[in-house]
Amino acid sequence: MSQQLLSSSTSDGNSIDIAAQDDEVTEAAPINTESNTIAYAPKGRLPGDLAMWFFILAELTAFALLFSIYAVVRAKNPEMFAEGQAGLDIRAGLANTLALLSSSFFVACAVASVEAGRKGRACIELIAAISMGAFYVVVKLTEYSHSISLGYDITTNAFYQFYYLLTAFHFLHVVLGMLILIYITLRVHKGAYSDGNIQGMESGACYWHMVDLLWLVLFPLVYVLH
Amino acid sequence: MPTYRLSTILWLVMLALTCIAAYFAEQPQLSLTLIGVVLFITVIKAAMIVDYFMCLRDAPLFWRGLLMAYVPLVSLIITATYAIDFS
Repeated sequence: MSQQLLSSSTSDGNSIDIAAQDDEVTEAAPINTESNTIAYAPKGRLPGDLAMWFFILAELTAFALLFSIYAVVRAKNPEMFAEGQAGLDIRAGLANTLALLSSSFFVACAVASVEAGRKGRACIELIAAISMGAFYVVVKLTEYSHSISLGYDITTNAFYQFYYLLTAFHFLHVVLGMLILIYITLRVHKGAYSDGNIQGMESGACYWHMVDLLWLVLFPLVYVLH
Repeated sequence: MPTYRLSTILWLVMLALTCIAAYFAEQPQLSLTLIGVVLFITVIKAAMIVDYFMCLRDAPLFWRGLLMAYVPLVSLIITATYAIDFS
């Protein structure tokens, strides 16, 4: 991206006017200075690969079934579930929700940075996103360890079966998402998206946002509504 | 693609909404109204992620509709099971 493009956008009060003087600017990306947005994705285009969207759809369907079964079983055993949910640490659930939301935010910023040709900034944002994911992993493992040390494992009752099943299934998605983000970070660092084709990155980003979306449902379902 | 400023505002709003939802977990009595409020907060956050973080705001209606409808539908099922439980 030329310095002229950058300066013209900043003089208009553009919100992408981050100090990026030291950042390696790789490729001219079209910037819409009138609407203050990066105008890479044309209207009507689905970000990322279509195959990834079918995969996301399949994942969402599987989780929707699990959420529904959980809700039905909970309605049949309200006391058991209320007791189990009361034993969970809401602070851990809250911390994980804030971490995943922040991670999604950093990933969205990283995609915008790559579109603007700022790969150095994108790498930092991706590392921040991965760090938030790692924070989630540590909190979740600590939570599991605490529950198991108190004698609550998958064989305790129906609530703990669903708790471990739902959260561990989601946990695996977080781990996979983190691996995808690490791969994307390495690709960004190598300048792999500097030719303007960022479909691969968009696909990985959308997968990560899906993981966040699923946790948004899990958090109230398991931690809040009891 | 939203601007950095808009993304930051949405992120902060989502963090605040999450804290409000967590506050409701501390309420002694669960009611259908409380469930409705908590799930409505979830629906708002999900819509923000779908439209702005996933960048589906200008995507084909089919895909945007599917993703936008997902959390409201799941929330409806959850609310229905609580309504049956309360009745």
